[in-house]
Amino acid sequence: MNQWKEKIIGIFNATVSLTPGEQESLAEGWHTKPSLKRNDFLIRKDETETNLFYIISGSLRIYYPVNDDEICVGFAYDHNLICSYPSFIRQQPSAYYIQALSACEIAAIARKDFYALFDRFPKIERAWRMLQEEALVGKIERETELLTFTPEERYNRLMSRSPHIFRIIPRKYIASYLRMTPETLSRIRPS
Amino acid sequence: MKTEAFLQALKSDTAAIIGAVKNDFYTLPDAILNHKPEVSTWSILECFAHLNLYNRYYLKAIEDALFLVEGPADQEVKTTWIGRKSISMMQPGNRKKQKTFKRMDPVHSTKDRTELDLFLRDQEKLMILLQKAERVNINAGKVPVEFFKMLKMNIGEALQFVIVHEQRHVLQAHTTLTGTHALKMPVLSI
Repeated sequence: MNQWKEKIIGIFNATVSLTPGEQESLAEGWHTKPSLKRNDFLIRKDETETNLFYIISGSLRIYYPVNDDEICVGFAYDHNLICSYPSFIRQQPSAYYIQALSACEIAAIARKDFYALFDRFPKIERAWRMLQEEALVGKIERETELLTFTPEERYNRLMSRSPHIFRIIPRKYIASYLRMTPETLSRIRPS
Repeated sequence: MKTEAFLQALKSDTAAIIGAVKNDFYTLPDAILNHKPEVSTWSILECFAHLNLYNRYYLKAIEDALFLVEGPADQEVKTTWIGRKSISMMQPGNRKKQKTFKRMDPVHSTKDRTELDLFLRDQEKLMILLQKAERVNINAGKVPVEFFKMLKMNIGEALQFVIVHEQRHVLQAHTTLTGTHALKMPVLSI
């Protein structure tokens, strides 16, 4: 089995223990997609998300376009799963763009294939539920931080949660993600 | 390879190490620097405290050896058995775990952020030694091996040993850092 397929199984296996048969069925659904170059889009606004993606290598940002600005709402890099989640869940046009920040190798599973697995293998559905729970907790914490904390505190929280992010993601996008200007970020964290 | 090209490569390796420390570690909060993934594994600061213990010995020993040698510079690089052995053991590519000598165990070091300051100051010293080395015959000179002083490396080997050993533990510090985030960030990004 491909190394990246084993890693995907590892993500699901981290919380439930899948049988060899379940692992194989999960692995079967995933296929590689054409590589992305920097600035290519994984999904654009108004497209409907029909895939869940796994990032074999590279980094991406999720952003919401508003007037002339783009608000960064999330990042993903090596060994993450990513999708335009509201569109993926409701099967309606995406309000977000997902764009490559570097060259990316990507794998995907079609939503219908993924959901078909749930009927056959409750454990895969359970693992997916737990992955969503963690993502939800992350979103709630982030919302509270944005509403409560000063820019400095928001920066410190990000640093303690994912200090490596400054190695991977350009600063202007981190500033956008933290809802501060690049100038404020430079003041808090000189480059 | 000629010794001048050899020293040039070591200089750029050292510059890369300095860059990694400044960009990737120096700005981290204490909690991350002190985080131990497991009881038996080193925190990021312990990695650097360990390197500082080595540097305290080797930088002085290399400086002393440089003092005693002369030209001609830029010769074909020569190696010794103990030099090759020591360097290959420490190469970051060699994933075999090596046992740490008790006196080099960072368990008794201060392990606060000053370890990073000390490490960076030592890198400046190392750069100066690399510059001095350009003017002499680095195949000569005798630098006693720390754990068994009867054995001696030549100056070029001792410099390379110090740097590959640093690379080894900077890599370890990066691995620790990546592991720290992997525990905390959701895998699913939405």
